Amino acid sequence: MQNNASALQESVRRRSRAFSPKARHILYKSFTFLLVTLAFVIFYDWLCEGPVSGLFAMGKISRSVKGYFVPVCAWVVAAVSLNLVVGFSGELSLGHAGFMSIGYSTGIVVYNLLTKGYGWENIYLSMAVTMLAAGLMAGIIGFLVGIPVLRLRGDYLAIVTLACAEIIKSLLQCLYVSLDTTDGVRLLFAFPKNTLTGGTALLKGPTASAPIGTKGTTTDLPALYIIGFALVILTLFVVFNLTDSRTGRAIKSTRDNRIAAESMGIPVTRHKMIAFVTAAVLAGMAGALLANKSTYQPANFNLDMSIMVLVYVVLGGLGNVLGTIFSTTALYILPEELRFMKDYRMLVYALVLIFAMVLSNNPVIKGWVTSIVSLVKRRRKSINLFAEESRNAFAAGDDAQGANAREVLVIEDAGENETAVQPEAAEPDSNQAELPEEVPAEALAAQAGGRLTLERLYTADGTPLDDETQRRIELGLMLYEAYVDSGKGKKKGKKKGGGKA
Amino acid sequence: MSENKRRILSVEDIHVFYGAIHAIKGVSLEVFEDEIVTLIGANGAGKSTTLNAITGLLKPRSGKIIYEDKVISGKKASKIVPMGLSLCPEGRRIFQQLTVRENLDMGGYTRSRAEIRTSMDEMFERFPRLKERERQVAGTLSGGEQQMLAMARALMARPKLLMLDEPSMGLAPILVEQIFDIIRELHGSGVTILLVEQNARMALSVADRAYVMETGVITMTGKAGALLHNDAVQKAYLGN
Amino acid sequence: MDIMSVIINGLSIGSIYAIIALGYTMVYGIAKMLNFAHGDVIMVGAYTFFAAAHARNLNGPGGPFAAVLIAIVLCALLGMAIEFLAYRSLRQAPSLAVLITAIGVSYLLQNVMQTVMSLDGVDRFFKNVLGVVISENNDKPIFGADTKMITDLVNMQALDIHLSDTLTIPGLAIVTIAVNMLIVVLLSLFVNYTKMGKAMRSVSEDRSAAQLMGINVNRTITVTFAIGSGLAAIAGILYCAFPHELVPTTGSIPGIKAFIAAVIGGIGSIPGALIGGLLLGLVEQLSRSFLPVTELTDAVVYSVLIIVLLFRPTGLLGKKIHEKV
Repeated sequence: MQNNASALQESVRRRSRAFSPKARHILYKSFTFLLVTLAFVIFYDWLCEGPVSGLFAMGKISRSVKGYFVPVCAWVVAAVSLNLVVGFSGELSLGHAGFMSIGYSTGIVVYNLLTKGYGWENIYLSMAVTMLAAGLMAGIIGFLVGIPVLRLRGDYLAIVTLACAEIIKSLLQCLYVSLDTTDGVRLLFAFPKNTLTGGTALLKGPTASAPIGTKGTTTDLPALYIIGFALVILTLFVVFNLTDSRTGRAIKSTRDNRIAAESMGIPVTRHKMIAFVTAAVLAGMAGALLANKSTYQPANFNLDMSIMVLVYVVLGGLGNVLGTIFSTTALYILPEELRFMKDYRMLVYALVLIFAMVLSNNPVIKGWVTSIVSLVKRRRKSINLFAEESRNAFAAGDDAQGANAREVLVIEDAGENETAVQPEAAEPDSNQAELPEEVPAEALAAQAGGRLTLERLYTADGTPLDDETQRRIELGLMLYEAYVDSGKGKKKGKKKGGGKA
Repeated sequence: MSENKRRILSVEDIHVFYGAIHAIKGVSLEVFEDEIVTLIGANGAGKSTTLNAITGLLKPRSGKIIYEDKVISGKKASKIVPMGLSLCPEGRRIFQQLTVRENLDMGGYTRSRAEIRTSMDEMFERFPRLKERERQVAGTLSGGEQQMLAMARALMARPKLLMLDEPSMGLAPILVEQIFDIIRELHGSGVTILLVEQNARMALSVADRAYVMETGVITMTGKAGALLHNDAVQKAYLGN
Repeated sequence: MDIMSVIINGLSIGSIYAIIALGYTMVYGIAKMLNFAHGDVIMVGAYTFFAAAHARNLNGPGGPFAAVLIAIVLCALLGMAIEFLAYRSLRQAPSLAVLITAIGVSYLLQNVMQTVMSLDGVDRFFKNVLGVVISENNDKPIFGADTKMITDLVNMQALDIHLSDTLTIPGLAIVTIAVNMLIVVLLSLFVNYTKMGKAMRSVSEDRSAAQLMGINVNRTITVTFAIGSGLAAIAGILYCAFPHELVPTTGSIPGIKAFIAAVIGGIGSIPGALIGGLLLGLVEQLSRSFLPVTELTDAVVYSVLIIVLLFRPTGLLGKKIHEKV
């Protein structure tokens, strides 16, 4: 018995993959960092017309391409942070734009305060403090939002996040902030009506705010590229560390089965809050970054925007950071580039969305994919194919043995763990029938009204069955034979003559 | 022993998959008119899956299911039920927010208004407890009453073959006795029954024939009485 | 503004939200999905109405009502088509995938209308094929500007109730509220007393058990979408009469508001949709009148949702969900 099991395990192990899951994950993370760094180096170099671009004869960077890098960084951060909530924590948030909005507004106020108010000149320092402030603000609001939101379930949670984002939008539309530098540095606030006089208007209620710094000048751009890159790296760092930590595993467990996690003593709401607030902070920082390159009104940070980020996440893969980076970049740049279809691009975009979802979730297509995959990974996962093969083998020996093909045993694939399961017990179950140590086969046979012996049966792998299992099958067959012979059942096809010893 | 008993149901070598999981691996069984056949086995053996496949909620990947000489495998439940098969599902699955009366009304969905009225009266006679709670919301009934309601609802379709999936589940022993008394009564009044049960003792005591199922295959079959006294069955399922 | 007028306005717009909310709530109850595209069906209904109405002789007796009927039928067909093409194959899919698909459908509807409206051949098509004059200066279809058409349809001016010198209940409000009540009553009767209606309730409760009763689940779901979408057409027509401008994105905002209303009332509950809609309409109009700044209206409206959910996690009339442990 034992040698059968170990032989089986050996053969499975031989066929297993070269890398363990852990190694694969480290490879994945490193690749992500590498890719982002590479992208930055290439684009930065291209922007500054450095050596690398000369090497690849890329020519002068076009105006539109120049403008992609920083927004893409911001949207990547937004999408990856949303993935924390949707992919890792398993909650649908339709209000992500709200946090970006807070970060955006805070960013504008703080940056102007620092640069125009206090005269800070170092863009890196200013932006760093700005983004920190923006993230902090968004995080606080995220925490406040999380309190009512995270105790709800599923669809209700989604709707409330939507409502919260709309409330934020509504409130920001009534917020007026000015910078007064006449008598020392002061920030003037007005809500809900604009009662401010004098000073430079920073946040102008429902209308577009003044952007940070000077928009689109080349002197700022290289610095912004670096800042954007730094933010993305920071995000990757935070997200990877969080999800791979013990806290991260707890968060993932709340996604997979909330009740099970609760019963194990994991404070579910707290962990969801951690994911939620972290995501809010990062979204806020992304918002601050956006404030550099565009003029948005609070009304722009609406449901459409939240959905856009959600689509980035879903098409990149829930829980898949690298995938999210790809999907965000592609989905941001492609609509811009496909100008020739300008009028139709949203149409195409919508169609692509629908098809992508339907095709990837259609059970029929999934079935095809699974069977194709299993054909390719024949040796590892083809449970049904094994059954098919074995059954054919038995059918061939059917007449000679009198064995019915349906008595075939199949090795269950234990999935990721790659440990072979003992052939005689697919699941350990206390109710499984266990034959007593010594069962005189003759006694049993007499009871069943007949005698039946089979040649040694084999498992799908080619290993011979152990005695116990063999006997159980024989017993089962004997009972069946008895039933058939008693006349109660009709046996289709062959008459069983060749089974008596 | 009577050869002239008509075969109502024949399940021939079906394989049922849940995605990539091979849940039923070549199961065959038969049910004859006026019998009580029981399918026993441990948790996860595949008994409910078998019933679900027969009734059309699941589609077998291969194999055939024949009901009264008509092939029903691959058909949808809504087409199979009007043919005379009725399933009282595992966990009862009564319509919680509907009243007792409305639940029974739904049971007779495939029949005419007049037939529903007649059958409902019959059900209330057979199950007086349900009559008492006629206008009560089903979700507020006790476990035993819910089981009765589920069975009554399944009977509203006036099935030729009634399938019961673990009727004793979650019920106190005295209620289990009651339910099985009802099953005997039903059998007496001419309903053929296919019973899936985890409570092997009760099942074998009421059935004519039995199949034993383990991890997706039938491992034993025979007369209920014989299996009741079989050593292997005793040890595994009857706790001796 | 006098509070009575505000309340009447609130009930009117609330009635429209309620009609839309019914569509959301029925579909959610039966298919357990948020049909994000529902709001855009409203828009399609309105466009269809205008196109049909322009084609008919308005002076004739049946004219405008026929146009309404055409819009309802077309939207019902549209709803059935969307269900069949986009949602049916996703029955077993995770709800996120369904939501994204619904979003895709929503954008698709908006953009198809956008494209259709901007195509050169549209008014030519209408003129030559349907005998309709759509645009007067060959520029764009004049749908958007012609909301007056609805009020003229049933001569709503004549229905105005003058309660006092300063207070008039506009005929439009009466019609809207009356239509809403009628729909709710008919729908409730339908759901409680007809075979298909009972089937809908059963499928909402427990899909497999319903199948075991012999109910054809596909057909039931299709009918639900048809009814919901048909109602959306009515809502679209009434909405534009208020007046509201008709552009491809018109349906989004009332769609979201109605959706929130459905949740407030308890999603899956028909009376809940009614109450949620009316409540939302009232809160909206009251806020708009009494708050210092109109932009704050939304903040108040959405706060109502949060407050309600805090005290009644499944909405005002929502069902208690018992999670199986």
